[in-house]
Amino acid sequence: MLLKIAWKNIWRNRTRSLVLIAAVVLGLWGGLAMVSFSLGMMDQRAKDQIEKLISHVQLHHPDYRDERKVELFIPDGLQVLNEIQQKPNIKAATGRSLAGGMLASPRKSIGVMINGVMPASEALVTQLEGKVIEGEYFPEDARNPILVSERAAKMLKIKLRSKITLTSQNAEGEMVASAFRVGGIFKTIDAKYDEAHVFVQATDLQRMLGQEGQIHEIAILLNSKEEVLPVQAELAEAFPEVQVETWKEVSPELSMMADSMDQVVWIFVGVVIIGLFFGIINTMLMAVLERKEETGMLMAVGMKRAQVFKMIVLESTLISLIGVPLGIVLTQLTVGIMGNVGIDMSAFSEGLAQMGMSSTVYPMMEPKYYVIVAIQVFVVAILGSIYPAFKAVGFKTQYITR
Amino acid sequence: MVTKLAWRNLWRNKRRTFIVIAAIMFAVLLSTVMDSLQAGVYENNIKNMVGFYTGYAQVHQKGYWDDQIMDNTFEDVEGLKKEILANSHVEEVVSRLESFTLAASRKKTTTTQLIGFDPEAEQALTKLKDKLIAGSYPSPEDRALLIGEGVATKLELGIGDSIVLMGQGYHGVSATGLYPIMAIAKFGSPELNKSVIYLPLKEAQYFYGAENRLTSYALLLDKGSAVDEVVADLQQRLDTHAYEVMNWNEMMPWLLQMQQADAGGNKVMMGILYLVIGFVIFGTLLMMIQERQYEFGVVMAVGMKKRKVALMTLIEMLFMTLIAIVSSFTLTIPLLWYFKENPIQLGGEMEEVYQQYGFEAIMPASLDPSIFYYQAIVVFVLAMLVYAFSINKIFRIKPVEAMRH
Repeated sequence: MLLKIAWKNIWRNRTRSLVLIAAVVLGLWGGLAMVSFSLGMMDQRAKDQIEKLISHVQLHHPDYRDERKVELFIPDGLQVLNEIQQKPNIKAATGRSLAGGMLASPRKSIGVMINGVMPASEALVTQLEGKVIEGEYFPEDARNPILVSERAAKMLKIKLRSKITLTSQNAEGEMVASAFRVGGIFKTIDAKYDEAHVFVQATDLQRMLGQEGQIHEIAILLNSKEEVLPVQAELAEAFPEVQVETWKEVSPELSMMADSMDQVVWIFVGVVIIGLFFGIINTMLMAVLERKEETGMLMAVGMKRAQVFKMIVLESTLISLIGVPLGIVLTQLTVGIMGNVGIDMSAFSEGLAQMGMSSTVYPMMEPKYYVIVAIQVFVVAILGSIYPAFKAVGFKTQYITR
Repeated sequence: MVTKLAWRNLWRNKRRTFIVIAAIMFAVLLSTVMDSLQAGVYENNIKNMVGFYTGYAQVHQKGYWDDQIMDNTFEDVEGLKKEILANSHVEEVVSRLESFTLAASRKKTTTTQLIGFDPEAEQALTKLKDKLIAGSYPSPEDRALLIGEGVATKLELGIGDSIVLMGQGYHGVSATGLYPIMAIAKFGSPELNKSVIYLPLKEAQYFYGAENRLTSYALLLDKGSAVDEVVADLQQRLDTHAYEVMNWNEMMPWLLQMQQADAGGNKVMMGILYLVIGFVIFGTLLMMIQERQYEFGVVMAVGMKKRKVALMTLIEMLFMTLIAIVSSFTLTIPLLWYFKENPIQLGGEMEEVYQQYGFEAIMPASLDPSIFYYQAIVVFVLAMLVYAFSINKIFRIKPVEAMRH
């Protein structure tokens, strides 16, 4: 009975009810749009970093990442790499010899991480070849070629074909040095990374260190982020004496960034929901005030206060029951379309492209967010009707029907 | 006349007026809070980053930043420091002499940044003393090292052990020395943690053969927002042929870039919020007009032109928006001040990672006045736009039908 009255009340004043429904739809859409946009943005950033710098999965000697000693190479590394490259679920894999050292020009020296890479497979995993902005990517006939970053080249005042010296420490703790010739200059998305890394051929570095055929790191690129955990489990089982880590473990900063976005977004979603809450109180209050006489009449003919209260809360509940599914459909449509087209951010934030970061964000969604935000909106819609309902109950009967 | 009518209309039905005013007030409140939180996060990040090491601004020998070698040092003359301290925003001038140096134990060698430092001034800027995990904080006269935890692990050394340092000093002299470790510190930034070695300034100058010379003055300011002003002032008063004055954003351009990368995302978020609050205002206005159909019908019937009626409502709207915006400040300022003093704590896993990096896991509000002005203007324009959308309802009113309600 009460339900019927509430339902009829809603359609008696269409404009008002449509405004309320639209507020619910828009509130839900707004909250979800924020979530999907930030999910898309986080994914884009992680993807940039993974595909250009850290890869999905990395393998090391169990102690290497803590101690970074050259003698901690992966046992039978090349064979492990070979086996991994054969696996069907892996997009690309490469091995690296690594050593900390000094890069010295006649003018100055800086501390760097020397990356001994396998040029062909490295290009597949981190697109290193594409980052070379000047010179050539490890030409076959060059002797001891090295790639230095634009930033390091500037600091050391060196250019293409300059001769520089790399100094490092071998497994026995002796200082070893070798001359290299700048074959190319690179630039990545990360200026700090650039300052501290140089690339040489793995074979050249291994010869310098006296560690022929030994690699310290295997980096693996997968087809998607979803495959990371299964692949990690599979490799950990296949190679028990090697440490297998995911991108999140390799780069906690990156997952920290994702987490921090997550919490911040929820605070913003909260702001939108508060906006909706207020919109509903506002509109319902107006609706109630407008219907003073009518409510007074209902009470005069014997409707109890509790029933009037319930009726108004019910109206709001019904409205959100209509609004929430519509909002979800609208969100799905938006995310579906924008997720394919993408939102071009270059107009809003200059510098993205210069940093080598993708400037198009593809909003995306996970089902759980629909549920969370829908519940929030629903609860807020009902809560928003409570104050107006109290107001309605408070009207004095005689005064109203006068 | 119309203005008078509009003003009276407002107070004829106070409750309705208050509801509209409240809707606009709330719009200003929400958009200001959101903008202020976004800005506050950046201010806090910058504060954290510059507090790690660089300070908000630095003074060097001209050309030092691009070519950080010992030969690009400057003489630590008393007048220079005084000149910098003359700016009232500068609280402390932190002297440093730093360069790359090889550090070796009996078994291991690693590349490090050797920083000659003034223990007292350094404490004021980077709170170095608070980061000690072993040993005692050096005094200016000590000839001993304070090293990063990562350096100690790498060299497999502890308090009391000695380190051999080898580097290049002033005018190409080779610098070598043997120093005991008197303190180990843990730095938030992993980068610093595994590469820094501090040596009291006097001894460092002796080590590098750079008597009374410095690579940089790092400046501690009373507030971060004063940095542009300070840099401009110093560039005016110091001899810019001899010295360079640099802002943190020139020394750490990636920090600014990261913010720019986020700025676009924040704008999209604000856009979504404007949509929602714009609609709340729209809904309120629509209902107000609907409620007043009868009244509008009457005034039109007695000969008021539709355009005049629209003008009247426009003036009403202007009054309400202005009242709302002005009164919203009485709400937003205390609220934001509260959030600045009691920032939102970010919890969970994130708090741990943040702390690990030496960041505070908080989301403070920014009280930058430009935020208030900007949001007030945006909401004003928004309210007017929304009004323009709802106005055509008035033009469609047929007086006879309207009065039948």
